Amino acid sequence: MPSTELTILDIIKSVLPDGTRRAGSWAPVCDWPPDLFAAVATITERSGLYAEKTFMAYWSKDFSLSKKWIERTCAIGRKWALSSSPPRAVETLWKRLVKDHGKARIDIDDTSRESLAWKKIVFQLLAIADEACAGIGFPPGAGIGQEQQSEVTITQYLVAADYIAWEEKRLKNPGLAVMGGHLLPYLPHSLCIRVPPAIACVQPKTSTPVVGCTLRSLTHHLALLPSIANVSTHWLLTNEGHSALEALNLLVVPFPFAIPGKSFSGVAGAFPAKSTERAFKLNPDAWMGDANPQQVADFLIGLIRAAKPELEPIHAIVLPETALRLNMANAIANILARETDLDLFITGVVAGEQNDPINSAAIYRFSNHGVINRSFQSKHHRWLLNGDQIKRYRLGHVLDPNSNWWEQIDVSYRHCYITLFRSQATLSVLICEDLARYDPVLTVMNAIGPNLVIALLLDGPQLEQRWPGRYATALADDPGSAVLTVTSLGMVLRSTMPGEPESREIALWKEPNGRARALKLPKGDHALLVTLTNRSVEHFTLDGRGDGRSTLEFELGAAHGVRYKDRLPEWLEFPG
Amino acid sequence: MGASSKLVELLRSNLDQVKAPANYGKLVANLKTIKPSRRAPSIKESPENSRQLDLDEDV
Repeated sequence: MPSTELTILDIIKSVLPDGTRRAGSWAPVCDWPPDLFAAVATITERSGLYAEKTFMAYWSKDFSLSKKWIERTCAIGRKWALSSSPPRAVETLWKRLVKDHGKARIDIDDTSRESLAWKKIVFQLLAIADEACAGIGFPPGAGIGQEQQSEVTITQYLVAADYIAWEEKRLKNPGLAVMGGHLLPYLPHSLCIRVPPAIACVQPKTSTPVVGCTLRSLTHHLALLPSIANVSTHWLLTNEGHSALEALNLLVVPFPFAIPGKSFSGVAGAFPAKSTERAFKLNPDAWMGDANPQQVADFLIGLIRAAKPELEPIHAIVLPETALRLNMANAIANILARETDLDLFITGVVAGEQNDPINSAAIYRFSNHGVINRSFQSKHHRWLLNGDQIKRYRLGHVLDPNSNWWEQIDVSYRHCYITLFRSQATLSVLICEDLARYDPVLTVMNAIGPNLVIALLLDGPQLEQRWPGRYATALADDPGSAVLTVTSLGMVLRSTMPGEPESREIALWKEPNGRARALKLPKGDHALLVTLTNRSVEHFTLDGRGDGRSTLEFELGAAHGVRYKDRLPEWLEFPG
Repeated sequence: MGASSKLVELLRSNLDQVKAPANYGKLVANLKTIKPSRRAPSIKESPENSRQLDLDEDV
C-alpha cells in the first residue's frame, strides 16, 4: 500500500516538479531566490511551523532566534542579492534539509529535536530568500528620499530588465496574452523560473502585516500566491519619476450624480433551480444621455480647473463602479492624457457584449501626455440585489422585490492588477462585491499588501458602520493597506426616501492605525479633492527583521469640495 | 492590457540611468541554463485587455 505520509521532499518535488536546477534532481539548492522561496514558503504554510514557540515566544526556553541570528540571516540574504549564485551557507542549509530531513513528515504534531531541526532550516531559508529579494519589483535605484538611495541588487535589476523584455515581446505579439521575459518565463504573474505558476506564484510585496501570525507576517519582499488558474496577478512597473513621498491628490467624481430607475432592468428567464433567482443588467446609457467623450472629458477638465485654486497638480481622477461604457472611458482617457497633467484615470466601466457584459475597473496610466498603460480588472463576484436592497434603492417598480436579482456579468476573468504609482508604492483597485468576498482576490491583496486600495462601488452612503467600512478596516489591519471606497452620488441619493434628509457620504477613507472616515460631498459640489500624504515607516517581520523604513503608509491629508464653475453641460443631470 | 512602446521607452530610460550590478552578466548566463523547457500556461484574457494600446483607434 503506498504511503500517505507527506514529507519535506514530497512538497519540494511538488513545487519544483522539474528539479531545482535540472530535471530529476533536487539535491542542489535553487539558483534563483524566488524558486527557493516558493519551496520553503509552501513547507512553512503547509506545516504551520511559524507558530512554534521556537520562533515566536522570546519568553520560552525553546526560543531560538537572536539578534545575531537576524544579522547573520540578513547578511547571507544580502550576499545572495549581490552575487550570481547562492552563498555557501544557503547551499549547506539546503543540503541538510534535503539529505538529513527529506523524509521528515510535516503532517504530524512533532516537537522532537529532529523536527525542530528541519523547521529551523526552513525558517532561515525563507528569511534568507526574502532578504535576497529586497527591492524586487520596484525600480532599481529609487529609494524613499535622498537618504535612502539603496544599492541596486542583482535580483532587483534582473527583474526590472526582464520586465522590459516582457513588454517588448508583447509589442511584437499584438493581441496575444504573452507571458515571460528573456529569463523569467512567467512574468508578470510570477517571479519564479522553475516553479510552474499552475502550482504556485511568487510576487513582490509592499506591506508586512503588523498584526497576526501567518506566513504573510514572515516576509517583507516576497509573497506566496495560489495557482494562476485560481487568480492571475499582474505586477505592473510603471513608475514615472515622482518622488516617493510626494502627496497624492485625487479628484473623486461621484458620477453619475443621478441614476434613473430604468438603468436597471430584468433579464428574461430565471436560474433553473428557482424561478425567483433572476438576473438584472445595468445600462449606463440611461445616465449618459447623448454625451460624447469630448463633452464628458471637458466636464472633468473643468473640475480640474475648478480645483486648481486649492492646489495643483491633481494626479488622478476616480469615478465609481460602472460609471462609463468601455469605449467612452477609453476615449475620455485619451483626451485626459493629451489635455491634462494627470498621472492616472481610474473608473468603473461596463465592457463586453450587450448580452454578456463585464463589470470592470479600468486603470489608465499616463505619462508625457499619452496613455502608457491600461488594465481592466473585471469583477469576480456578482452583486445580489435582494428585496431589502430593492426597496432601499427604490427600485421596486423595475425589479420585483420578491425575487433575488443577480447582476448579469461575466465573472470568468479572474485577474488582479498591482500597479506602481510611486517608486515605492503600489495601488490596487477592487470593484464593489470583491471588497467583501474573500476568495480569490482578497487572498492576493492580503499576501501582497498594496499601499493603497481603491474600491469602486455602486452603493449607498459610505458610512463606517456599513459593509464597506467593515471590510476596509479588515484590509487596513492586515495587510495594512489604506483603503478609499468611492460610490456615485446617484446611488447614495437613491437610498434616501423622498422628503427624508439626504445622505451625501460618497467616499470612505480608512488608513492603517486610524478610524474609518466618511467623506461627504457638500451640497452643490461636483467632486471631492482628496489629498493623501504619506510617510515611510519601518515594518518588522515576525522574526524581527526590519525593512529599513521602506514601507509607505498613506494618510488622509485633506479633503475639499469642488464645484464646476461654468454652466453645467446640458447632458448632465445634477440634482444638486 | 495593451502593450505600449511609450512605456517600454520610459522603463528603458529609467533603467539606463542605473549601472548594472557586478556579476549581472554571470547571473544571466547562469539563469539561462536553468530555464525549464515547460511551456508557459495560457491564461484567459478578457477582450478589452487584449487590445494593443499603440494600435488602438482611440489613441
